[in-house]
Amino acid sequence: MTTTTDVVIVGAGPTGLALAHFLAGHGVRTIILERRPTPSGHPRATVINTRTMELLRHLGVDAEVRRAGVPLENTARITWCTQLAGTELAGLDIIGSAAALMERAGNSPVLPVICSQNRVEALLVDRLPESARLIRGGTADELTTTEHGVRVRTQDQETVEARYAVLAEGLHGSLRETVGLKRTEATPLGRLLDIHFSADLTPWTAGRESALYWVLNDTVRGVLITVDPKRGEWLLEIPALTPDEEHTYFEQEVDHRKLIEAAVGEAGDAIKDLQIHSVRTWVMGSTGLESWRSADGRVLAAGDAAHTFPPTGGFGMNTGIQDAHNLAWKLAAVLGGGASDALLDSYERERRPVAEFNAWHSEHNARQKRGLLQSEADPAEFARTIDQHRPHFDFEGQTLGFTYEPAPGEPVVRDIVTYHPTAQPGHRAPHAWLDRDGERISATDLARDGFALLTGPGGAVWEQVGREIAGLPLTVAVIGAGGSGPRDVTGVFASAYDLRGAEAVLVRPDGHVHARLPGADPHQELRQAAGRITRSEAEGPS
Amino acid sequence: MTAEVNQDELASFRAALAALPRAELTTWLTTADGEALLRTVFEQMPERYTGGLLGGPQTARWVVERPPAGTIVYDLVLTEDDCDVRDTGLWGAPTVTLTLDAVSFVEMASATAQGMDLLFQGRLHIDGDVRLAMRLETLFGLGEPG
Repeated sequence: MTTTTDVVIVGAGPTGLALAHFLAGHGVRTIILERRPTPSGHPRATVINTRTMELLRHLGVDAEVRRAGVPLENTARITWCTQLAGTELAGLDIIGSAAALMERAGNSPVLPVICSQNRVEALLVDRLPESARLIRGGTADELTTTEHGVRVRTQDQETVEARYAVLAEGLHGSLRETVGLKRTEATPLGRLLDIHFSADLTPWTAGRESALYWVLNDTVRGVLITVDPKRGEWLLEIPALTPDEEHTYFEQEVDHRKLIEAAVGEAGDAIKDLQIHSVRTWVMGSTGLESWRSADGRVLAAGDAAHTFPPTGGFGMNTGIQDAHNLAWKLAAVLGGGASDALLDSYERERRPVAEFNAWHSEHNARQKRGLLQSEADPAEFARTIDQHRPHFDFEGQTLGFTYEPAPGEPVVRDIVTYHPTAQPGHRAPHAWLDRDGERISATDLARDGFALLTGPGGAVWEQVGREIAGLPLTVAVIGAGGSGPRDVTGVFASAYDLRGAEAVLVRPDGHVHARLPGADPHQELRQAAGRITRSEAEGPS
Repeated sequence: MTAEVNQDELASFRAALAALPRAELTTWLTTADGEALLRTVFEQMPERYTGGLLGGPQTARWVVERPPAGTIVYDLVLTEDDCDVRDTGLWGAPTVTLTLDAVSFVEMASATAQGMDLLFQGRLHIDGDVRLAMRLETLFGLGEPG
């Protein structure tokens, strides 16, 4: 049987599912092929960072994700100890003061959340819109390009034809190689053992609830990851740091229950309701692709299929979902005929440097943690040096402050820890609360479904311009203290956007600033800015 | 709406709130009846206190703004077992101060809105001990969304 759609997505992980949602928001039909007949129960990634929560808020699932997970305010701490029941070596508060919390509240309408990947996937599947169809058990084993698109065939002879294919098939998918997307791989940093278990650990965690509990003792040197403390769900992650540990954890029979007992510091009987659900081993390292787009332009890679990093920092799932957000509006503009196919080249140009930065930082974190795990468990030394590890856990600058247009020679992130709001081209348009007819909205909400042109009280001239760019809707908002547009109730919009006179900021559908326009000749300025999006610099497939 | 709201009946209180536009509630809370309701909510807070705060007494100061009428300020002095409602200034400097508009206070006290959401909407400002601030809803049995 052959089915036709706009975009075929291979892989129903967080990247593929999010892409289907984002594309549906632009009216693009998708079919998602997932080889697993049933969802995985293993938590895998657990951190939903602030930027990803903003995107989930735009999909209307942020509240459900919060309910399914643990808000950061309940786990805004990292603890180091010899065992949960042993000596505490150090603690690092992510939100250590009211001032820090108020600063975060000013950066975004949402907080990061701890919510396991399998739960996020389940929510995204439940909420899939009608224009997205998920086929489970549909292992895609053949991908060919046609005159007008792609054809994907599954093992059970189902065929899907589409204009474009996005491979969100994870690290181990096989289709990338078949279309010439060659893998690259950095030297692995070691192997990890993941034990997913349930237990009531509250006797040892109450009063110091943490996102992570790093444990250092003679039996276990690893980290207990909070998955769901309300239901007592945890991951014990142990890296093999030496050849001896490689032998201990991977080359002989391992008693996983004993490892949990060693991490907690109590015998099994003293740990209530201890139950192991699953065990997984995997290689910790960075992988990538030489190119994220096939030579014929019809196939693009996203998420773990395009890049993987060590888990230290929690950027894997987040980077994938943000890839999807960057790509979705571009595919919609091209499919709708509003932009040339060359627009899709900007996807890799913008996202690869961000992924490479996240890989670099995750590797740095992994090496730093390896050093710490191999060190003596000396409380005085930990107290002296622990703040050096803050960028591993406290990375609002990296999460919200990356840019798609760094100055020559500059990195895409200039300050990992602290976010500095700016409405310069390439950056995420800053959040500011606005009042629209009694409703409180974020400035970032105005570009939810298309482009947004944001201007201050002196920018009324912009109300005359058209309401479409690249076939996608354009919202024009004159934001001030009065008038009919949204009101800048806190003054944050004026200070963060720093608009002079009739100046305006053109925000793309992925929330990043495309251009600052002076407002001297609104029609011409907007035409030029839109032209940079829609015009073809190199003719691609029609 | 009257000042005789039974705080044990959060569900009916939430329903009454939901039926009233925010602008109307804002205006009503500046009236004498509105002030009486706000003071009733404070007086009944010890009944909702679940306890469990370890260490010495800690003071949470609530500053409820309702311009153009006067601001209402109370100190809740919390110990392991008790919550005392006091006029401000009788128990030294507060451990934490929460400043918010009257509607947001009523929403928070009725579990219609959560403190963290109000904070992220720019309606709640916190000064002082962030850990105590984050625990307050749990300490008053308001942790679950309304």
